[in-house]
Amino acid sequence: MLRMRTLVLGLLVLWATSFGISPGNLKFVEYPGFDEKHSTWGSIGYSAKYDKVIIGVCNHINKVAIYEYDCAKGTMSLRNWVAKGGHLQPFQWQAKIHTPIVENKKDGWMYFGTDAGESKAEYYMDHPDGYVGGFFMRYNPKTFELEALGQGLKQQSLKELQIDQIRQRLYGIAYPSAHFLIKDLKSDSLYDKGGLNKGHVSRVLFTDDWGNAYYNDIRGHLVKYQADADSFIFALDSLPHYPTTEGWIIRTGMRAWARDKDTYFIMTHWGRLLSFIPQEKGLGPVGNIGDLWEDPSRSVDSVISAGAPNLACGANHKLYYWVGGHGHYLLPDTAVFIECDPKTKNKTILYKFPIKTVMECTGSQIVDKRGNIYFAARRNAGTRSYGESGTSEPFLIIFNPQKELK
Amino acid sequence: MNIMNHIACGALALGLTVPVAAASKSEQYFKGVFGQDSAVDLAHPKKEGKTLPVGGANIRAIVQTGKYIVGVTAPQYPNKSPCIFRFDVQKGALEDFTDFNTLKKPGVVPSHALVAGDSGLAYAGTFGNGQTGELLEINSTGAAVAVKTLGKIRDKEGVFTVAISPDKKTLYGILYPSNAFFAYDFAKRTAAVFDETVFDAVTRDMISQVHSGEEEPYCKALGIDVSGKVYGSTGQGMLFRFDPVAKKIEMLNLQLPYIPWRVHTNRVESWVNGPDGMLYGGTSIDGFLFKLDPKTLMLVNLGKPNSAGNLKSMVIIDNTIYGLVGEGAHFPQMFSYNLKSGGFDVLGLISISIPMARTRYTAYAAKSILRLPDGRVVISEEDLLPSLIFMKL
Repeated sequence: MLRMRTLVLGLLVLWATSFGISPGNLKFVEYPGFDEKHSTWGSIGYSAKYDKVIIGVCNHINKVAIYEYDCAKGTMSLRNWVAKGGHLQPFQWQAKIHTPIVENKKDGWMYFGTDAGESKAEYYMDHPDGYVGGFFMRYNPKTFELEALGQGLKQQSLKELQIDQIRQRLYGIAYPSAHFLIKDLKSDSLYDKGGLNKGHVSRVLFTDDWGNAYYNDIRGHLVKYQADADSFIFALDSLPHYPTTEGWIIRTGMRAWARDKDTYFIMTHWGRLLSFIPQEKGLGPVGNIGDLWEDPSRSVDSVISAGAPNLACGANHKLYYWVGGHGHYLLPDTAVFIECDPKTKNKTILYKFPIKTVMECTGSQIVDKRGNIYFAARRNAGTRSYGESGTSEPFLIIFNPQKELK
Repeated sequence: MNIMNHIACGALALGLTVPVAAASKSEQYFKGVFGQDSAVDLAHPKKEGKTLPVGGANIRAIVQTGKYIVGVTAPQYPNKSPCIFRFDVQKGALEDFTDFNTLKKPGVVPSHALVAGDSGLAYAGTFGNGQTGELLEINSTGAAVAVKTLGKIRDKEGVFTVAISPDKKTLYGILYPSNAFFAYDFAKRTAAVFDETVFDAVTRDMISQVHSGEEEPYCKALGIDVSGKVYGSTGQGMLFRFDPVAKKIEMLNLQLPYIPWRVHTNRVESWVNGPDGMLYGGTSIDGFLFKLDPKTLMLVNLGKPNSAGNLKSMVIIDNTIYGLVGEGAHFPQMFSYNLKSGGFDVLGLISISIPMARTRYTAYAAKSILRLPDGRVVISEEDLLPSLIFMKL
């Protein structure tokens, strides 16, 4: 019932459609059975092996649920809990999952890391009675099992995670020190490669087909972990930005990524879309696709950020992203959904929603085999407020630019 | 008190999700904050200017010699060599560096202290891997920083830490892995070694039982009082004193403060000379601050700044101790202790502007604090991408 109400409300405020995209291309799905649910934080991933989308839904205090969306059946199910499945003790509380949930193509498990939620962790920064630290974890979409694989750094969250599919290693970013961690799944060894950004813990880490990882430093320079050489390569130039863009924005760097074959796309904190072509050795070329939304009536720095990190490339080779969140919106209290053709750099607003319908969305390149794109979304719930970031209620958005969804 | 500004903005620099209402305020704050307090990056690879190698830049110790800050690094990555660098204080830039490959002694790392001698010279030592370590003389006065070895103190032993006499004629130190004390005469180029400070069998057994890190129990810092006597620690956190006139070691029957059962690896982590003739010291495992009266040999435990251990470095400015406490997961924080009124203030993580990135950053691995003649302090970082952080306290 709630699902229907939300969908109808969303459609009522539909602003525009283009290229044949209609209200039927969009679908909202609720998370059942978790009254305290508050938010999702990029905690989403697609299991190609089992054709399921896995989402970590939290109360942002101490409860994190694992949901499955069965892409074929169109059903959403609550499958497990981080604390229960991971056999965590109360003192090992975890507030959320802030990493993507990444499929290991070798074993089919979905890997992720856990997080404290900033305020609570930092309030107790002077330990020993605070946050014990985030865990590497994995979830099995076939058996619904969840396993804790051990902690990252003591008393620090895991903010990002990706997998070197070749070497079977997890890459992680610790919070707040932004240390780059490597967890070898074969030997169960943990390697700390040191801190990469003391200005901000950037929220994007992605890998290429050679198992290299990409992050950014405090200057907004791309940093590549060259896996075969076990060393870092630092770009000598910052990712493209305006000369007036301030350092405290640049330090955040990348916010989301997408991929179309060999080309990656990057959304930056300063509202820019970039292309990037990784190379086996060294860094690759970076191209500029322009601002997320180019409006001559606005100053170049007026859109500080996308607000919430999300980006996906559809089967039609076009980029799709929501702009809005954390107080930053193109229009007052309105989230907009944009289509961008990276070849022409043309951007088109497809939908506009008030924040009570769509407040912000996360997720990088969560696309199933049908071309459906998934976003872990939140709406301003009005009354519900748990933990940080105020009132919020999470739900799943499904979008397909090429066909209507049932 | 501009340090309070640093602390107040620590949350922002930590990367806290900025509440909507605070976003515009933080934007305003970050404009035009680059004053006399700033951090100079040493290792981010860049187009112009020298940088220390990533993975080999973790700063272990610094000292000022003339217009330079000289530093030694202990690499984070095993395939990197320690470096010796000099930093021009007035230019605010890394001048140059050399690495330990020039010493042709693979596997050794720098001692835990670096001292300034006469004529722009600095001294350090090396130890590690069971090899014979050496004394190093670092000359920062020439066209390039130059390092030469002064030889070993004793076969199969390295130099764990060093201190220098007030007249700059004698270098004192601790050997590794014995914890023996030595006094090196610059003029004669000879060293006298004193084995009274070597760990006894009981200590070694206790250390073995608690499975501590190899370096943990060794005396990391030597203090020197106004009369020139040298103070350090041996097993079970017991203090000793060396009399340079009598050339004798005296065991003081004074034990460093510790939390019960946490004694076997306790040691002095840092010393600073007070204006009142007292020596102030910090302990390792529990992070206590203590006062030692060299005349009466009374030791007073002044307490702990916070729950962290490793009270690792201190300076005194205007009757106030400023120091760093914490290590590893327990991020180092700055504290102050007023010598007149007593009482600690915990000033928090060090968060400061870094012009390179036009923003602020937070030092999660602050290592040592050094007072400069111009009234500022400089803080070094033991980190992958370290900076030298200059502050006016």
